[in-house]
Amino acid sequence: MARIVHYLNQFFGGLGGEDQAGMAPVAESGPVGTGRGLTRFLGGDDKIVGTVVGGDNYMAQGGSGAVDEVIGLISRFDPDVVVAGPAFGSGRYGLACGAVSRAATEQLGVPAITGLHPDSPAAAEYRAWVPVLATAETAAGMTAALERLAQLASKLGRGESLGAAADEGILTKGLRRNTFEDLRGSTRAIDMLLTKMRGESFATEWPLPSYEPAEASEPIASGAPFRLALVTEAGMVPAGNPDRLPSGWATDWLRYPIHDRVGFAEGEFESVHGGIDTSFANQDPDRQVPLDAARTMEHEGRLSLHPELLSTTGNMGTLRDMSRIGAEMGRALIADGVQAAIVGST
Amino acid sequence: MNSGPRRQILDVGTFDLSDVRAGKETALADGVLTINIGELEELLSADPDLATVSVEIIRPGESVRVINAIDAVEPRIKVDPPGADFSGLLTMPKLVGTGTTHALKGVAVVETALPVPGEPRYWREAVFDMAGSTAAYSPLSDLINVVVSCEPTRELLESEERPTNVFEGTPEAVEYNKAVRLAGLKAARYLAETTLGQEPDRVATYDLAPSPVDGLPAVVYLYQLAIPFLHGEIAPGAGAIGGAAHLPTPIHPNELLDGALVCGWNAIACMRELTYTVQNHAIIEDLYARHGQDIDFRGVVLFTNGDTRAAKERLANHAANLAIMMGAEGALINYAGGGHPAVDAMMICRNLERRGVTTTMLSMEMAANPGESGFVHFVQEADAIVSTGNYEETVLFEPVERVIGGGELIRIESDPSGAFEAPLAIVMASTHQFGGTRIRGEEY
Repeated sequence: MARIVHYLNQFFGGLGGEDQAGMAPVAESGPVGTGRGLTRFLGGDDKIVGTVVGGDNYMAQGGSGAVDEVIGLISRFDPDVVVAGPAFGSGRYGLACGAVSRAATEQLGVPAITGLHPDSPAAAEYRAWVPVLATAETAAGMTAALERLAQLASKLGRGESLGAAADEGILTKGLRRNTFEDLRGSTRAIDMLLTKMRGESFATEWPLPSYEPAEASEPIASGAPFRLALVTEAGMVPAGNPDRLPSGWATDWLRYPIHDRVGFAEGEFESVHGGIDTSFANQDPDRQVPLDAARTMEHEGRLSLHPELLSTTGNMGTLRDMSRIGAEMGRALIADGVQAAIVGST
Repeated sequence: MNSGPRRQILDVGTFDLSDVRAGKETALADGVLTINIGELEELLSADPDLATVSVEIIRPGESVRVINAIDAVEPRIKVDPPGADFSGLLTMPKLVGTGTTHALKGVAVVETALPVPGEPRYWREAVFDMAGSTAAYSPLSDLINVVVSCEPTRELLESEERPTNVFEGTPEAVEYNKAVRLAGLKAARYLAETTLGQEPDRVATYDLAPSPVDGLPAVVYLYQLAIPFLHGEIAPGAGAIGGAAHLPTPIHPNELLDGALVCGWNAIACMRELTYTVQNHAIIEDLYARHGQDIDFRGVVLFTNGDTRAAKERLANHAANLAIMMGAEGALINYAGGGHPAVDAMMICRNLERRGVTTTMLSMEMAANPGESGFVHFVQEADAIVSTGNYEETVLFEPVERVIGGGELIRIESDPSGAFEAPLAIVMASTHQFGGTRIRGEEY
């Protein structure tokens, strides 16, 4: 028999709607809410021994502490497997299901599974770490999701590993690994080209990613003075790199005062970027971050300059880290009333 | 008065080797190449830029790791016209890609060189194993290798110059790296001299004559160079060295196979444009093999990359113009690796697709972390890509009995003969841009 512990939010746990979204996690024995539906599909001796219900807002705002509370409650039931959700395409609930599943795996050493819509934010966040059943976007897909979750939970609870993603109906991890084909790459490329030219269907070996498009802001109205910030991903730091900004794989960003400078002299600031020839930037840091030109325009009354340089290293940065850093920088600048920024690229 | 045949036909006579051994006399007999090691070392040591040169032979299955590798060269010699070996480097620039060339098969000359001050180290780590699980990754692991290990002069080794440019390094370091490559080329020619006067096992004929079969799809190969010597000169603009990118140029594929291109710099090992992989260029070989069968191979366009938006637009438009002028209905495009080159290759893909030419790209991947696509840049038109492997994948190197090429690794703090983990990027030609191996990336 597999001992299953089920994680649900307040709504699917039957404890209330948005008004109860702030509730702290509680444990109930046996199946609750969605869990009653899941039980109908469980075979053999598989059994939901307990359910933990957490409020959407509590989990969204509580960070890892809230997840730890849930894990503490789950562990009391001594589970063989944890099932979270399904949460379909929902935001807060999906992220909580992903976080709880991952924590159960990593902290309790217990396999876990959740059900999410492939395009949900939680799927992108957690698919690399926990098996995610691909579900419909809304709870209209509940019955199909529960039937499949029951089968997968049973398998995991018995200590079996899951098969290929396509066979199990779960999402791929979204990771890339190497494998060997029968034909070499050049031969496969000619075959793919001829297939494409005949108008027949072909499968690219490397699908293009889909990114959210970055919408450009409206231009600043011409003539009006505006507040400008200088931002760089060139790893520009005070000489000696006092905060140890890395030359690549940066996960953080820094702010340095520039309000008392009309420009950068050689030796005052330097680039620690590990992927470019930094000698020109180091000879004259204004080449990388145009403080001198901006200051001149400020003196001409055309703009006012934000007093800090925002800096990170873009070299080898992951898309996830750089997206977060960009968003953090943007929020900080907006809070300071900045209307425009020049990002000195490498 | 004209007297030539107006054709550019290359015959490559190949000699299959079953073994390579050290012996008294350098000679080829019954598929066995014997090398007078002392004589070869003396020949190569004559270069004043190299303090010592030592030669040894390693075979597939031996517990050997080669480190500090620079390039690999297939031993070849021009029989007709004679004296045109490695045009522009061992000779003045010569007409190549026509006449007769002899090649020794199953063997490569591999140079190793100790790193020196003034040399960029960013991409210098380059290894391959002759046995164990990691031997699956490098095409060199399947060959008998004549390893030419070069040591710099004491003066250069003890200098304290810092590189001012992450690509080139100091003039002294550039000279040393060129001397190492020349040693490899000389060794390759020296070994192939043993074929003179002998009948090859097979002759491969490369002739770009119009397809005898009408109506086959016309295909042009757009070849993005890394940084090679092209007839002895570093191709300008390639990989951001050498100022403004030159315009793409059409080139006869036979020239590329026949020694006009030689590895010019220490790119990341997995994507280093090895002379060996150009001499045996997988895309060109495959296009030739199918020319008149199921495709009409129209030739090659070489391109590099621009380092400004304007240069990229100019280059990408011109590359598409040339392919269309050559009658392309379909095009293969390879990506040379790195940041800038990805943009140019993708722009060419987009230009061709928008002008009615069907494209397929070959690309290596660099997905190091969960959630990373591995793309530097892409366009929506790039819907047909063959992966030549994800070079960020971590590989476990097993302990080996012997290491050739130096006493320590460059960026990896580990005993080079021991076990360590490193990205596939450091393995020579493992994900190289011509798709010459069977590796690919897949999603899981």
